Amino acid sequence: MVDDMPMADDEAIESQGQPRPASLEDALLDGLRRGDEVAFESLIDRHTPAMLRLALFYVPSLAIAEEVVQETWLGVVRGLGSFEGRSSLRTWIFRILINKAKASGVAERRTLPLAAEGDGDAEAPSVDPSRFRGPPRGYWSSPPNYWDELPEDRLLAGETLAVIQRAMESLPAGQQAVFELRDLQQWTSAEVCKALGLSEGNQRVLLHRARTRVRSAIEEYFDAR
Amino acid sequence: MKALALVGLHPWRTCRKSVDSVTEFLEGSLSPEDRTRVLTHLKVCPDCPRYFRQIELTIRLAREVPAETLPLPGRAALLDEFRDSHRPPDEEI
Ligand SMILES: [Zn+2]
Repeated sequence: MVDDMPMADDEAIESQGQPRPASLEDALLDGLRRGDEVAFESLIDRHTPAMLRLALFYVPSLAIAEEVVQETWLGVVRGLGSFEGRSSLRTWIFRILINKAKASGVAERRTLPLAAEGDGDAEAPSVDPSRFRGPPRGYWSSPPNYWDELPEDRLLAGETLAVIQRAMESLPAGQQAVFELRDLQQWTSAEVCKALGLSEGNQRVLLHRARTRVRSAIEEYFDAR
Repeated sequence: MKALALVGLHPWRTCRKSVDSVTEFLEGSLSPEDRTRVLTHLKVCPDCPRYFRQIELTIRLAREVPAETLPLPGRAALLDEFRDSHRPPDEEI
């Protein structure tokens, strides 16, 4: 119900957030205003990957997404003087991005209806059905392996993280955008629905597909070892 | 027939249904009845709790993936623009 209430964009994106690491953003904003190039570069590095993933939700190619991100940063540079800090710096940047991406996306519209991109198989099972026994109880016949009990240094090893990164990169654009914003950037579901123009249900399906696929990639990786 | 209907009402969930609802469970978007079914299942199932933990661990690990420093085309031009925007106006030089 609350999500359907009309709200100004700023408020809708800003109000329901969890606590965020504000101090780093504050420091970066200070730096930007002073003309500190290192601050600007670190802001670019910090947000560009997420921005590209989000742009790819609206436009059909990486090249166009890169243009959108580029234009966004130009907009940031030019608009900095008029940014009043009523929303967070990040929210402001992503709002510029979404506007620019939407504007390009209209011209370059993908043929695929975006919200339908739960792989087109929103009803598909999360786990290969052959891994379960039949009814009535349908226990696992091939349960998840125990990779979660591996020591932290194995889990956080570069090789493991590379597997995870590849899995994230191979997700369809909608799943990638939702996973990035929800699970990595820790936006709320209301924020993500608003930013991507998705219903709660669609958003949840995309998130579920994404998490499921990334988990499977980790499992396969440790299975093979 | 009656017995079959009762099976439908039983709080038992199959493993497959449980793993399909892991995101709804974590999001808190299940109905109270379905939530109870999943919780009941998790108490008695030897494997699903691990699956649920793995989903949470997956999210935690994904956050540890270092953000790639992208060679954004036009990065140099952006830095120029930034520098220019902070250059004092001519008359002050
Ligand atoms: Zn189970």
